Amino acid sequence: MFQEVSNNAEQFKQSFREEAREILADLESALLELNENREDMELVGRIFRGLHTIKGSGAMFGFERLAAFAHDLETTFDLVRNGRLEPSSDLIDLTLAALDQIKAMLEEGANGAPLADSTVFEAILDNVRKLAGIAEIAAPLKQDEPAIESPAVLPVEIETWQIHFAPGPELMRCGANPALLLRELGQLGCLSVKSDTDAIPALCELDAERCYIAWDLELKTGASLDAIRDVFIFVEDCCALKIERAAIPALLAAPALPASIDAEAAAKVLAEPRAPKGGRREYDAPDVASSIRVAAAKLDCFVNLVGELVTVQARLSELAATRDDAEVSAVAEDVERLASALRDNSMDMRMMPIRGTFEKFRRLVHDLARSLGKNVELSLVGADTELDKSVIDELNDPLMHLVRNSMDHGIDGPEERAARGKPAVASIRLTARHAGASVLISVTDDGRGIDAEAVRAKAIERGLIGPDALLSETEIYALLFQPGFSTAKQVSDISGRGVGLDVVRRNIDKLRGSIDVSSKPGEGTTVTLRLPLTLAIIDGLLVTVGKGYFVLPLANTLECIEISHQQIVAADGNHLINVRGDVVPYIRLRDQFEAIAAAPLFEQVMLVDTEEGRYGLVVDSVLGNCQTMIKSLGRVYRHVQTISGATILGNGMVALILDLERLVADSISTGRPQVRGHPRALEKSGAATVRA
Amino acid sequence: MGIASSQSGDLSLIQLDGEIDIAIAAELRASLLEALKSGREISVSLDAVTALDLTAFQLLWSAQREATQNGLKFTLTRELSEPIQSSLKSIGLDGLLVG
Repeated sequence: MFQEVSNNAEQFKQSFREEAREILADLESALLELNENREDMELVGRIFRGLHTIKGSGAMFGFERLAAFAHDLETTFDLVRNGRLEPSSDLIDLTLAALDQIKAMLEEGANGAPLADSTVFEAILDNVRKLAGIAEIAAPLKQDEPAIESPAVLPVEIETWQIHFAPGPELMRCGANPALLLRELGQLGCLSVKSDTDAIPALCELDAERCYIAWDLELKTGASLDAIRDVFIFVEDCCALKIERAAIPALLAAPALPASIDAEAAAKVLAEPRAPKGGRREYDAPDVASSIRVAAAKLDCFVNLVGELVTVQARLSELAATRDDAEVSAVAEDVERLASALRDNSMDMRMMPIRGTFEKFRRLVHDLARSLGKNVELSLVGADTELDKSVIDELNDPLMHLVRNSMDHGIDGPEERAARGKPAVASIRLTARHAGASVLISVTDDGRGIDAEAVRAKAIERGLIGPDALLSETEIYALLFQPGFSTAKQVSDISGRGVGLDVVRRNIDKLRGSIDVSSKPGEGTTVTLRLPLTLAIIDGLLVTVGKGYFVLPLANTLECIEISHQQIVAADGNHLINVRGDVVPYIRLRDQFEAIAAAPLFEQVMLVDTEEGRYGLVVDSVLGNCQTMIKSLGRVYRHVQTISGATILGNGMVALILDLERLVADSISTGRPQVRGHPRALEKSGAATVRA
Repeated sequence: MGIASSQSGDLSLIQLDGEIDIAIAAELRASLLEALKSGREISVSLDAVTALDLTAFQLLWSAQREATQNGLKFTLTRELSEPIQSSLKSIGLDGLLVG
């Protein structure tokens, strides 16, 4: 029993952590927005409410230190909210630092994380207090004296408030306790309490887990109406609440409190006969949550199982096809339809907007701009673009390196910018958008651009290329992503160790993505990452080469044409084909994989779209479409670059999934077919001609 | 910790122990209903109670009212302890349960 209780407690703590992380992320963006727009009281309110929620829930789930810390920040932002304190950049910076401390406290004890250093947050609090111009917001924190609640000690006008509070039927089931709310209210000032027990029904009609008591309260306090309302912030949807200033009988609480009804109506509602068990009152909060939290591991497991199901379904379809049984075929078709829908659905569940990752960079840009003495504005475009959670997880590091690189190398200091006639505030833009089965994520800056000559010189110096190498601009930019390459004259804290961009390439390779750089000297640079929408399941085209099965990602394939053995022989080793007047290089997979089985009379050329342009892949035969669950080839084959994974077919055979970009790039680097020189020269050289 | 009900002669005795709160409110309600149904005098022992929350208060208060309406004697074995009194006072419910 005890074990169960402690497990539950840990579970609650865990969900608080998850919730708090989200709130902290939101707080961080709100603070950074506030930094740019100091007058925006809505932002101040958002920050205050975030801190209040962290304090309230933190105390509820046993994070007393965290709650006490958040309490002091909350009090400070209450001063800001009431116009008694300016939201200076010092305050914003301190609060950002404080959020880092809250993050550390949140992780305390989880997975053996150490206790956060109390001297650090003492120092932060001290500074916050000094800044707020108040001697003590609360007594200094001591570990054994958590959650000190005391109202701000500023000379303020004491007012009297009349509060009517009638909990609704769901209030206690939501975990709220009216007694604690009254206690919190009491901490705002002098509270006198009058309870109304008339609505408590006869025992046989009484729902033991519902509060039937209503309260009429009188509060003498210097706190604002907002501060009083905030006590009820978690329960305002499931109670009747009326707050009015004693001297002014007019209703003040109405607009922001939808549940607010007057005392008479509340009493009437509470006094009317109890609804039959399971009945519902008008002001019942809907108990169907619009979304639920699911652990990522569970989702991964689910997607894996769906993948297995897709494989088994393929096998069923194949079996059904070999038996001439209409009933079995009908069932197999139904299963296929369902498996396909299930696959789409499960993939959709993993899709998340990239906003969370993008928003994190506001803080990075803010901090870096500060430390580099640059004035930089970050803008986000298409932050609601969705992509697979596992892709998003892997994107953080590469994007961080790219943004750091832009901040450090791309963007000039204010003097240089002024000298070049550029606006004083530099801009970095993060963009996300869909393009077919890929997502394009770009980091754009309006900095000095890449000096291709400097990159080239550096590459020669580093021995990455020969002194007489002829490289296109794209090839020169690609050098930036080579291990150990750095053009920074001095190694800085920010970047310039030459490891950053190398990491970007490695991470993007891992995601089966690609990097494209475009730059105009003096105007800026854009680095675009092209990433697959999902890493788990793809639509593919199943082909055979010799005795082997291969899958080509359907998203890349354009069309299929036939080529005869004769044509291949006639081409005399020039792997080129004429498609309706265009010369297209091809790769014969038979040669690539050294297939020994006899070649068919007619082979198929799959035209695929790659970064290098249109390419043909010659295969023996095309079997058809297939849904493919990508399985890793494992560590043993990790050096095989042209295969991105494997999948199991319905007949139990293993098919390898080809990485078309790599295959083509590999062919080019090993001197296999590519279009060089004038196309007419190619025609003379005997390119096979196909009329499709 | 919990609720123990017993009946002897004309008396239904309900002994409460530890924290009496929403977690055992349903159980307390059943015990009180049973005691009311039996038609005997009801005595609730609060000697070992360390905390009493709103839900427990509502049940005791409702049972007390009902017993009185039915002409049954309903007693609490002793005054509530000081901390419990004080917590009830902070929510305006002090003095309503009588011994």
